[in-house]
Amino acid sequence: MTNPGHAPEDLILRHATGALDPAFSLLIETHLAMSPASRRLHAHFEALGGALLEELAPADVDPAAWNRALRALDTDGEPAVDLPKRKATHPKLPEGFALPAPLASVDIHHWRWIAPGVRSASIALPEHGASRAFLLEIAPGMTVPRHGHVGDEATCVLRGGFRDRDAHFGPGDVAQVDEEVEHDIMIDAGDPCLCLIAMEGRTRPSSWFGRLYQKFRDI
Amino acid sequence: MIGAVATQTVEIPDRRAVAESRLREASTMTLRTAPAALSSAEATSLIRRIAETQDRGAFAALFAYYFPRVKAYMLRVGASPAGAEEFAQEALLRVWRKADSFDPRAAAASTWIFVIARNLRIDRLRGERNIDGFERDPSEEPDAPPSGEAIAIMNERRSRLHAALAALPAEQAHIIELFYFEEHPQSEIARMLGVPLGTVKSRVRLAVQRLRAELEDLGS
Repeated sequence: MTNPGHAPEDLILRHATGALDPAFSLLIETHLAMSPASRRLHAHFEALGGALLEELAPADVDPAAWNRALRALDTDGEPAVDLPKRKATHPKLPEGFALPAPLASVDIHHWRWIAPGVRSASIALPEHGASRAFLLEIAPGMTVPRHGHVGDEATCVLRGGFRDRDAHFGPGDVAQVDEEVEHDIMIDAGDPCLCLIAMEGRTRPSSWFGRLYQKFRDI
Repeated sequence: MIGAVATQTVEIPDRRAVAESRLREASTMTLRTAPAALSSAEATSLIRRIAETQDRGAFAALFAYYFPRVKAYMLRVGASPAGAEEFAQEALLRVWRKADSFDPRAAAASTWIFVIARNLRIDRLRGERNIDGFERDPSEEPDAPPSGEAIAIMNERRSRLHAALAALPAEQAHIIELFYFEEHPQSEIARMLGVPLGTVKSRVRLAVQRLRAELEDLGS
């Protein structure tokens, strides 16, 4: 059950308009797979795109366009058969936990410990973008101390949960921060918290978390 | 006179059947005067004719209406005139090839075509991808043919969308529109409103929340 207050409406809109890069697209598609309410909103935004498309003033077109289309139909054979997809590789995941479909279809690298109780696994995106995506798993009951961020960052909870300032985030919820936010995060007791994170920039998760950790040692 | 010249340029000699060439001519006529309106029900029935009988006449009518609009969309989102022409061509061919996957209960024809055009653009920007957008949970897709009632609901929903957009304050409606059609919406919004880029985010969030409220008020 996702918390309606934690739907990343602006990212859902940007996904519907086609403006998100691969890392943030994957995060939103994962969120949509977990949240029926956000799927409805996303469908509204796509429908709005259709409505706006119809309102655009038609462009001047090359009079030969239809002939070209007809020729393409004639040379068009049977619809291309999708090649059987190679099964994506994943790191070891908690017993009984299945990745939401959008995440299950991408390759995810091995777990790497980046701090005591914290490990990350990078996600191989279909192509390079300005952002990166990775899984992060943090031990139950841990506190990630006050920290800031370099760019936009979004976290989708896959399993477990955490508290950030006054809000609680559980499976399917998305927490968004930008460079102006400084916060502590308290991981729920019980299960480790498994999250998908998309972030602007090419910082490696280890140095990203190292920065948090540095901050922790400073205070 | 100009009309006659244009007709000649499209009459590329080939060995096709007479019937087909007549069809082609008819549809070039339509194409030159892009139809002003195509109801959702009409578009739905055209797409189903393509799916069921590979009906080229139906495709011609859909092409005449949507090709100039998809090209306009590609131009708005930053394609060159030649690129926009090619992308629109490819988008309409995808419409032809995928017609049997169109489900009018899941989305209106305009929505479906918008998503095809949007995904095509993403594919081209990123280099080809195999994934065609967000795949809906198959369990949510009923498999009985859509009832007239379901299609009427989709039509109704479309006019509600326009109402929701119209209910927004002009500035917010403009912000939303820029998201669909500008290559760099955030910097365009910053320029338009004369506010720093950082402020844009909160303005956008406000506009989106307002739009969401409007959409939910409409109960669609």
